[in-house]
Amino acid sequence: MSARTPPVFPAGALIPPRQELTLGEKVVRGVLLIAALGLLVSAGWLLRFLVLPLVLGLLLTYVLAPLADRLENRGLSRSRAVSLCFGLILGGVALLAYGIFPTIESWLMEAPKAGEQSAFELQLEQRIAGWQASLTRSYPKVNWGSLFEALTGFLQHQRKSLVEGLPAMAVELASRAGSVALGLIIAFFVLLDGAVMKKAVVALMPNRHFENTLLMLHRVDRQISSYLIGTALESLLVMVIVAIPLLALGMPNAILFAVLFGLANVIPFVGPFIGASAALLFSLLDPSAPSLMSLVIVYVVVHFIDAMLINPWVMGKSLGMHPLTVIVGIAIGGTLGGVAGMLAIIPLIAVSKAIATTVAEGARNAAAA
Amino acid sequence: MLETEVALWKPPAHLERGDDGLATLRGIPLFHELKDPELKRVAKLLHERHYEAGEVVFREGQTGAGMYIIKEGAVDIVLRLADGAEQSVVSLHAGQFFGELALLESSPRTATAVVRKPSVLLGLFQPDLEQLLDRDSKLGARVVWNLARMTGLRLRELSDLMRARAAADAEGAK
Repeated sequence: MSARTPPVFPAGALIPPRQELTLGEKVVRGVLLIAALGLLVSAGWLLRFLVLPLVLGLLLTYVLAPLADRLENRGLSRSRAVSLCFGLILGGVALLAYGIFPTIESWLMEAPKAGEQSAFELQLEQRIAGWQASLTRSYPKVNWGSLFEALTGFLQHQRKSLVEGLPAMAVELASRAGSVALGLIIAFFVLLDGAVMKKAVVALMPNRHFENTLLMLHRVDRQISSYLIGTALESLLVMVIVAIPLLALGMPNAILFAVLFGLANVIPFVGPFIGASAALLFSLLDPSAPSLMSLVIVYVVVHFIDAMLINPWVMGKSLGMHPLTVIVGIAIGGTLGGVAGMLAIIPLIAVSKAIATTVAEGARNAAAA
Repeated sequence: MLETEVALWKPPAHLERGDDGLATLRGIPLFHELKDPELKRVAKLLHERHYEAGEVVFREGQTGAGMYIIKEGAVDIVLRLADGAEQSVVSLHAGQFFGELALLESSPRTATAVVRKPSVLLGLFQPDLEQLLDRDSKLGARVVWNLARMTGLRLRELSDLMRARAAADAEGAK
C-alpha cells in the first residue's frame, strides 16, 4: 500500500460546481411544475372512479405482502406465493359465505310478512315494556309514559328508515362489488410485480434526483406499513382488553363481540360506538346477557384506555407522530371527508411527513454541498 | 397489453437475461461465492444508471441510500479538504464499487464521486437489500455477511494506510 499523499487541487478542479439556475430558468421550471401538478390533479379527477379500487388494492397489497414474502422465503416462486395468498383469501371468503348463508336463509324464512313484527321487534317491545313497568313502580311520580312513548317513536322511525334504505343499500353494495373485484386484480399484480413497477418509476428520474426519490418511496412504504401494523396491533389489544371483562361478566358470544369491537375500532371516534352497539343491542334482547349499564361501563372504560394509552403509544411508536397531531388530524379528516376522511388522514399525514422529510433533506444536502 | 406497457415494467433486457450483468457481479466481493441463480436474483434488484463524463454521482455530505458498482467507465472519489481544496483519493474502474457504507445506514456521504468518462453504474440500495432479506433471507444474510467482511477489510486497509503515512511523516521530520 502506498503511503504517498495524493496531490491536492484547488476548489472546483475535480468536483464540478453545482449548476445554479438563473431566475428565468427557475420561473420556467416553477410554471412547468405547477402545470404538471394541475394535469395530475385533473387526471386524478377524471379517473376518480379508480380511487376506491386503487386504495383497496394497495391496502390488500400491504396486508398480504408479509405473507407472500414469507412464502417466497420458504422456497416458493413469487407467482406461486402470491397465488397461494389469493387462494387463501378466496377460500376464506367462500368458507365465510358457506357459514353465513344458512343463517341468512333462516332469517329470510323467518322474516315477518308486511304489517307483521319481527321476533326482534317483539322482544324489544317486551323489554321496553318491562323497563317502563319497573321504573313506574320504583319512581311513580315521574311521567315515564311520555318518555317511553318518545323512545318507541324514535325506534319506529329508525326501523322505517332502515327498512326503506335497505334496497338502496343493496344497490350501492352491488355497485361496489365491481370496485372490490378491480381492487383484487390490482393487488394481485402489485404483489407480483410491485418491485419491478417501483424500479421502472425510479428509472424515469434524472440521476441527480434518483437516490432521493428511491429514499422517499422507501420511507412512504415504511410509513404505510407501520401505520397498518400499528392499527392491527391496536385492534388486537382492544379486542383482548374488552374480551376479558365480557367473559368475566358471562356475556354470551363474548369473543365475537370483542372481535367486532376491535375491528370497528379501526374507524376513529365513531368506530367504538358502532362496535359497542352490537353487544348493547344484544343485551337488550337476551335475558341471559349482563345488564346494559355494566356493558356500557366496560365499553367506556376500554375506550378510554384505548384513547388515552394504547392509541397514542402505538401510533407514536409506529409513526413517530405526536398524539396531538393524531387528534387534530382526525378532527380535520372527519370534517373534510367524514368516516373515510378520518380513516385516511393519519396515513396521509404519515406519507406527507415522509415526503416532506426527504425533500427537506434534499434541500439541506444541496445547500451543504 | 401493449408492447410498450410490457417494456415499461420490465427490467433492462441484459438484467433479464442476466448475461453481461452477471459477469460484472461475479467479480464484486459483495457477491462473493453466490451461485448464478442467486446472482440473477441480485441482478434484478440493481438499478442501471448512465452518466456523462464529469457528472457527479453523489456529493460529500449528501444522505446516501446505497452503493454503486461500475459496470463500464471510471469514477474518481474526491475529498474536499478544510480549506476548500480537493484531493482525489482513488480512481475506480469497471468491476469496482463504492458507497457501500450507505447500504447499512442512510448516513451522509464521506466523499464526492465524480464520473471521469461516460459510465454505466449499477446501484444497489438499502430498500432493495431489505427486500432481499425479506424475500430470501439466506441470500440476503450472505450479502450482508460479505458487506460486513468488506467493511472490516476496508477499516484494516485504512488503519494500515494511516500507520504508513504516520511513519512516512515521522521519517520526513528527521
